[in-house]
Amino acid sequence: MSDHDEPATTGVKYQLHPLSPVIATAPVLPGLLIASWFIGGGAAFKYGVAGIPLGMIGILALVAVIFGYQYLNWRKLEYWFDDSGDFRVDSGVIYRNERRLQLSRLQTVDVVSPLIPRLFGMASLRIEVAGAGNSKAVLSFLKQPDADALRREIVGRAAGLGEQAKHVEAPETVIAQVPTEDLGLSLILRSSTVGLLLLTSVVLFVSYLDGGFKGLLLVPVTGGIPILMVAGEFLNLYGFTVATAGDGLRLRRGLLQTQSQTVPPGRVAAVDFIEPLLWRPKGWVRVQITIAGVNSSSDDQKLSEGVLLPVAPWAEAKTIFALVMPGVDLDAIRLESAPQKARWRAPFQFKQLGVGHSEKVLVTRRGWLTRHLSVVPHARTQSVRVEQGPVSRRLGLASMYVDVPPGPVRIRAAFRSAPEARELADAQAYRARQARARDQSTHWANPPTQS
Amino acid sequence: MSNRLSTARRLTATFALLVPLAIVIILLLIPGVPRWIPTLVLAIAVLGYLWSLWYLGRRTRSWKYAERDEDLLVLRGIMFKRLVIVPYGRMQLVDLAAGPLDRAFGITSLQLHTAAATTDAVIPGLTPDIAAALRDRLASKGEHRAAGL
Repeated sequence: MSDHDEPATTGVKYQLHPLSPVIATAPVLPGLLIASWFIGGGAAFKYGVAGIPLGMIGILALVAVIFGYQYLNWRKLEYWFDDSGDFRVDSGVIYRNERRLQLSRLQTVDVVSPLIPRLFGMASLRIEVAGAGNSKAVLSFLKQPDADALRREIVGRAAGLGEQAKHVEAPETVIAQVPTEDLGLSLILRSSTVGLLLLTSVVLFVSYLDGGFKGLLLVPVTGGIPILMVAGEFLNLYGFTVATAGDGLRLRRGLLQTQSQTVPPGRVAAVDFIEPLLWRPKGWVRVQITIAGVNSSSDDQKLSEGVLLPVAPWAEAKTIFALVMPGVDLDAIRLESAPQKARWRAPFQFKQLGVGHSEKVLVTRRGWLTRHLSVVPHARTQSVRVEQGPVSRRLGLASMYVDVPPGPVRIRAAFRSAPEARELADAQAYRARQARARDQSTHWANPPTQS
Repeated sequence: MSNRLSTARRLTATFALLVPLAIVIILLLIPGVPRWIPTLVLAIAVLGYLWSLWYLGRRTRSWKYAERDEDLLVLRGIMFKRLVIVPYGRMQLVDLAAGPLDRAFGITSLQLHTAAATTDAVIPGLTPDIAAALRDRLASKGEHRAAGL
């Protein structure tokens, strides 16, 4: 698919861009270069000057083997849309893998461009469908415009449009953009960062008083981790932009590696508003979402997956929330606070504890240093739990949980009175059933026929 | 729940007792260790064992389930009580599992999975025929009420 104007037709098989094996091999070169210093040096030591070309040949052979493998990978990978409207990917050199993605269960499509492919104007496409375990397909690499075109076609077909979807360019409207200084400051002010930095200063202070420097050994750990965490997230979330397009919400981010994620409407299984202590003077909040199937696969991207908005004022966060869960007015939902006796079990977060519901969603609030306001649509409720530990039992308290697909959001109505928790659970199971009967978000562009 | 579950669990606890017993023997063999240390370890191990015999019995008896019209209810626990409600429409698969010890005792455990990994609905200690029947019933109820994610 070197020319993206070429019409994509059902059944026609495509290959990735021919430069893919080169780009896939490139990241191992720096490591090999470093290794060649040692091996080359060792060889020179052992065999004299004649050892140097020997070592180089060895390295080159290794590069050739890796490249050869990547080349075969490229040769063997084919993707196409089949007659039943599914997206198919056949791949694998030694183990053949024929994957069939049911587009009606599409969750998200990501266009990811790591540093090296970006220099070549290439990107890889990650397609996630709902399902446990490894339910995604990764296509590495395509030219950036081709990747975008394929994304459009996949999302369009999933929406129930036909082949023409590819040519319908959905215009984007930028809704929110996170300013770089806000992002940096917010990451530093997070509770975990601040905590570790405080610990570092305590360690420094104590070892100063003590005159010994054993304590200093801890400093790289307590001081280094937060710096790495902040730097990692900063690079990842840099330039975070939320935009709406005809085919869903588009989230763009990244400094070295850029990523653009498309979330079709109705895919969000739960939302969490997170408010660390030191963000409150600024009125900031982070919004995280759970999308079924996205977090269940083990992935290096896991860290910031599920971020809908890294930091923003409440008003902005609510605007964007309205896009992922239309028709839900958070302010109109009255939260019921926990019974007085819960003070004994949760003295610090007692005032925050709350649960409430509207016709469409259940909302819970909890947390002391870091507050969580979590929202789950009744239609996305998987199962309901009531739990009671030994202390809670003495006090006649219990917590109600709503189970949602794996992801960053946990829904917990903490420390209600035991009968109330039980009632909440039954009521939630009932509401979930009612909502599910009405739910029709599988084919959102056309009225549902049979899914 | 089958009573055999308690027996199986108690047997496991008995195996677990072997570890502190081994420690006691090792402590006795090491010269220079005062005698009261292995004695204390032994006493704690035996007390813990007796308590676990009693507690395991109670805990397995606390395990209950109910098939309601629209969902399955699983109740369990003494110290940490837990109640799980799984709507039939949300079940993705039903697992039957029996380890070697379970098989020796003729019991099977049944586990329900939904799209959420945190759904923790296990019913242990069913006799195989009851478990299989329950599984088939649940599967057919799930089919009738199946819904997307």
